[in-house]
This record gives sequence, C-alpha cells and structure tokens, in this order.
Amino acid sequence: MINILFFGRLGDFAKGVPSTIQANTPQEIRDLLAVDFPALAKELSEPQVLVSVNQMIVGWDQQLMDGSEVAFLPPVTGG
Amino acid sequence: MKTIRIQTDDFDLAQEYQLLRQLSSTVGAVVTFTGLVRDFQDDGEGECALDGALDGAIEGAIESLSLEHYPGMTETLLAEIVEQAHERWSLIGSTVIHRVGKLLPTDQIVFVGVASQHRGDAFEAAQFLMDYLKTKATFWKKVSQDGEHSWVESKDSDAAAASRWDKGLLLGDAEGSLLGDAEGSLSKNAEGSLLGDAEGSLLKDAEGSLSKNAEGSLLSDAEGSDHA
Repeated sequence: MINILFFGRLGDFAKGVPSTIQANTPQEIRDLLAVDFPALAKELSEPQVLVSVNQMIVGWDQQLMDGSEVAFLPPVTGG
Repeated sequence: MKTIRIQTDDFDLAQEYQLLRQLSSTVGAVVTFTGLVRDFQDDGEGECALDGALDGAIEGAIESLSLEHYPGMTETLLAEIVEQAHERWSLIGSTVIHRVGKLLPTDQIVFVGVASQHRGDAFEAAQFLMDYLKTKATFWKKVSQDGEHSWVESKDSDAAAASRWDKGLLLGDAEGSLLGDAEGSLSKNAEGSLLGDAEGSLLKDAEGSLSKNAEGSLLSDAEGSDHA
C-alpha cells in the first residue's frame, strides 16, 4: 500500500480520503481519486502542484514501491 | 556552525545574534533578518489582493495565522538551502529558525542570521537564505478569522526574488559561479522548485537581473575595494 499525504489547501479537499491507496504511480493515485473525489483530483491537476515520494520531488510517472510515502504539495508559502 | 530549527516556540533575537557573534574572533559581520506576522488589513485593498491570502471570503484584520509544514522534508530542504549558502559564500556560521503552528499579528515567524568575515557575504547569504526559504521549503500559511480560513497563495514576486540566485549572477562570487553554478541550479530548479512556475520565472527574470547587476552592483564594487 502507498501512504498518501496532502498539504496546505489540498488538505481541505482531501477530507475523507483514505490514508493509504494501491497504485503504481502518483498519476494513477490522482486518477483513482478522481472517481470519488473529483474536486481534489481537479486541484491535484493544477500545474503548480508538485508530488514527492519519500520526501523527494519526483515526476508524476514515478514508479512507487509498497510502503512509499507520496505527498501532494501546493506552492509553498513560508517565510 | 549551521543551525536549523523548526519550532512552535518564539525565539530571542538577541540570543541568536550573540550565538553568531561569539562563534569566532574572525567574525566581522553578522546580518540578521526577522520576519513578523503582518496584519493584512494594514496593506489596504491592493496589497490584500497581492497577497492573495483572502480569497474574497475573509476580509479585514486577521485573527491568526497557522503554519503547516512537512516534517522531515522541511528540515531536509532547509539543510540543502543552508548548504548551498555555505558553498556560495564564505560563512562562519548561519542560523535558520522557522516557527510553525498558530501565530498572531506582530509575532516573530522566521529568523535568518549569518556570520562571516566580511559584510558582503553575510548580506547576500542572508538574502539568499530568505529568498530560497520562502519559495522552496515546505511551509504553508493559513489565515483564520471568525471561524473561517483561507490558505495564503504564493507570490510571483517571491519566485522572482528567488530566481535571481539561480542564474549565477551573484555579486562578488564571480569566480566559477557564473558557469559552475548555472547548469546545476537551473536543472535542479526546474525539477524541484516548489513554486511550480520556476521555468517561467527564470526566463522572465533573466534579462532584467542581468542588466541590473551589470550596471549597478554596489556590493561587488565594495568588495573590490576591500581587497584593493
């Protein structure tokens, strides 16, 4: 299973989303989420949203391993 | 010394300054920056829109700001940014403190302090650290008022500020940085900038910064005089 995390405003759209999912790529996670959470999937499709796997920024086609931590990151606003 | 702290507690500016000051008898310059939580109302309407914080739903004074971050990744990213600063400038020590959790207007939110032999390194490194921190470290601000909240949106001006440093146009460290740094930073940024439109900003900003730096770099002049 893949652990999934949503940060910033994406967290507001991810209420009720399970914390784990079965998928091979972040893209596939997004597609799966689109079924039950279309508003979230739309947010995830914004070009500014980045995805990380095990805390490294990766492409949406990155192959996932069982136990991977996938996080969806909207543009950061620290400082 | 490289200190990075993410904490809910406040920090003591004087104490952080003393720690940097006392690092070594070779410290000749300490630059510190402290960021505070602003009351967005003070900005007036235009700035409100610029900040993009309020989404139309919340207007007026903010009641509180909360900061979320990605534990683990934030520390890693800050460490990378600090490492880059120490590679690019001659630094004796640096401190980065970022608060998370709930904060109120006028609260201290972020501290960057840099100690070096000469002021040029400290000034530039401090600015670089802040610019990069704002655009690359995994923090997110949320503004709350009357039970409603809105996420602060990233600003193009922050992206532009950070992208200045990607082009190897740094004052003073011309040796090697122009060529040596350009490729790595650019490609790294295109892949990994958390702002998303890094590529656009890099291109958009390149021309302006080039000419600006070429014409009027006070710092590189100053450093030249120091050596002379």
